Amino acid sequence: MAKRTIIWIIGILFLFSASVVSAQMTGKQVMEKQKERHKVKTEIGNEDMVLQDKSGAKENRQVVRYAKEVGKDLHRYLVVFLSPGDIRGTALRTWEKKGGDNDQWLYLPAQKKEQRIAKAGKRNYFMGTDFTYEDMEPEDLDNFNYNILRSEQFSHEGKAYDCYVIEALPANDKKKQETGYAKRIMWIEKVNLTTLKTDFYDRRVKHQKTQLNYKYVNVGGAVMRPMQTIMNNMEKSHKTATTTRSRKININMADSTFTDSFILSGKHLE
Amino acid sequence: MRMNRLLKSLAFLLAVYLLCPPFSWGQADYRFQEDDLLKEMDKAGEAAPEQKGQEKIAPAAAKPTPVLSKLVDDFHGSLRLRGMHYWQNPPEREGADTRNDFGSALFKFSDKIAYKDFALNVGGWVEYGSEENTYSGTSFSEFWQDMDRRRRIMDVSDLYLNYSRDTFNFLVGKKTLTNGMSTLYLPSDRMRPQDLNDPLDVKDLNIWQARLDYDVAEATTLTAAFLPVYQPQKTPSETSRWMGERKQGDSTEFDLYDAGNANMKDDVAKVTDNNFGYFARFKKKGFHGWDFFASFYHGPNPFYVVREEQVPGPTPGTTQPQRIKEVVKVDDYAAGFSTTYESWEFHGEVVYNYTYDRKDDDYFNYVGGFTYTFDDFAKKLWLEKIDVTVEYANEIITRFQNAETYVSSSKKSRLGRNDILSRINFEYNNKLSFQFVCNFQLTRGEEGRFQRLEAKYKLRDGLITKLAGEFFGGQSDSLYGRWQRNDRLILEFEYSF
Repeated sequence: MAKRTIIWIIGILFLFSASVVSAQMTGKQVMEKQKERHKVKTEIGNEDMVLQDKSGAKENRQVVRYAKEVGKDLHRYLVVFLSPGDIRGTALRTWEKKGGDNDQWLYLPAQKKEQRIAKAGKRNYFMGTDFTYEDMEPEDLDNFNYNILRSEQFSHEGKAYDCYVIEALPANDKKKQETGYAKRIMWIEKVNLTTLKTDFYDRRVKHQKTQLNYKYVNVGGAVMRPMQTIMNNMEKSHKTATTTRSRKININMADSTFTDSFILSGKHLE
Repeated sequence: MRMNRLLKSLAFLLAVYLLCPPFSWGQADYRFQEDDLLKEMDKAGEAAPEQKGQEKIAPAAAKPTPVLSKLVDDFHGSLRLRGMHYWQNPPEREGADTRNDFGSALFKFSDKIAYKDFALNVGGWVEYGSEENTYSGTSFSEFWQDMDRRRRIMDVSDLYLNYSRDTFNFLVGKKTLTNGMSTLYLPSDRMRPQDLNDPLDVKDLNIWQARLDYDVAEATTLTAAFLPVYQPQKTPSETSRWMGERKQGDSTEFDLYDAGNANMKDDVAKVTDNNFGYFARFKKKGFHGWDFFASFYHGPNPFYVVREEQVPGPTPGTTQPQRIKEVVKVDDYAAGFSTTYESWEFHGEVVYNYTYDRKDDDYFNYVGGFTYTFDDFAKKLWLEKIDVTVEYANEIITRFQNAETYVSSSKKSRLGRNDILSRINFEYNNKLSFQFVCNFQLTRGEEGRFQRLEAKYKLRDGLITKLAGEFFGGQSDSLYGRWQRNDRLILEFEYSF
């Protein structure tokens, strides 16, 4: 009986100390922990995407996403549209740069060449989705200030999750100029550090869109990914939903996957 | 009279448009129903295996599928129906096609079969239309080098074998070879023969090549290509309205369209070692925010020159001059860049053309320009995006043609000689967009202008319709001036799969 009581006390103390530690975490630390926990060396995902406009009309797409960490917190991304036919082969390449602007190129099959994308152009929506070019870029945590606004129970998929509510603000004038968002507010679940919801506020601080992530699954180690996401764009009365059909992580992936040679040789469609 | 026809045309095209309304019209009751949307996606995906993390694999690595089903999966293409109406009759000329309404149907296809690191790619088209003297049957005797001025009804324009590894790609066969980093006008993009039967609706003819693209470092690619077959451009028929006004008298300057003149003999650049082309390129992308390239080409020039020979006349003992268009050998040295700063994308390109034996001019041809993207301003106009591209192109002749019996250089066939080019894209949403394209030729005495307005609407997944107006004007001897009676409306429906 005494042994059981001691175990209970130790357990409670452990939980208490953990909650004290987490309560003392800053917003940035939460974001860093989240990034560290869910990062992978490489990743390929096949997604179905549906765009729905305000009349309810839908457009179906198939997308493949490639990602690779090529250096410490330095990533390359490639997004390829496989269907419908009129956009088949369209590809967006992103190279993350530390201490500089990320490089982005858009490949349009009809032009048979890539076009470099200017920074301000990154505030535009990507291929009619509700994701901007900026949303498709990796988030450099040094470019934002993360403030924990509160902790709260967030009801999601029929469950209540204990969440940090974190506000992300551009950290410097340069980022303020570039970004399409005055702020973002994220609901990050405390146990697995998964982002369940993000509210995006435009440059006039008007609530513009909300992203919700559903059906998180463990894809290896402690790494979790949502199987479904939906971006509700209140400004456009439009939404983009994605469902992941297959995903592989930490596989061999050549650096050349993220070059224009990969696209121009047609390998992105194989 | 002209106005009546214009109004009639507009009314007709408007009626066609209204008969094909976007599916979403009349359904304005919008509510977010995110769960419904995701549920629908779930249902659609039930046939596919549910993913549970790492154990699932991407389709690319799935178990081998039978060759036939893979061929079916990889079969893609498009069907385009196109109608055109010209507002004016073409210039009076003997035998000219005087109709003002034309239509065409074009089916494009592509397929491939892959085994390990090898992939055999096939692509081509089947097309027919109502334009006279424009379409020909498929001649397999000219499979390697298509010398027919007319467009093939059926053609295999892509036929190549790829061998790919992580660091290189080796290709042998027929495929397009593009070059350059500019946006609207690419002076260095010269290994790209095109079918100009409709000069504003060009089609790549592609070229035979053996090419190696080797990644020497991250995003640094060296390319070497051997081009054994010179493929000439195709020009409009003598009877086509695109031939415009014929030049009269003794004009000694000929452009690409004069070269289609049946009275002019063609000195074909046959498939011999003397006419082989060689291409090399160094390309680097993402270097401190810059992309750049440098390239070299040695081989036949895509632009004709004209020489004159004395040939036996109609009566014995007499001679008469015969003009012959000839493809001469050149070296092209090119370099270019693209970079971004804030909302701007800047690009530039220059090519230096050196001609052997002074049979053509030696010259620099260059272009510089920018693309500026409006976003906040666009939103004030209820648009998603506006981007404006402006370019200026010109050439500097460093040495004029000076060879015995050569009477005309390629000058008038060359584009980008004191030109302003521009394109403005207006994107209302992912379904509806508008585009304005223009080209102003500023050289004194050769002033010309071309403008195109286009509306594009996505009717449903893969199905797009376009309505465009094209307008030409300028001096009668200029490229666009000779087409000044070719203002037209175009309506297209294209389904891609």
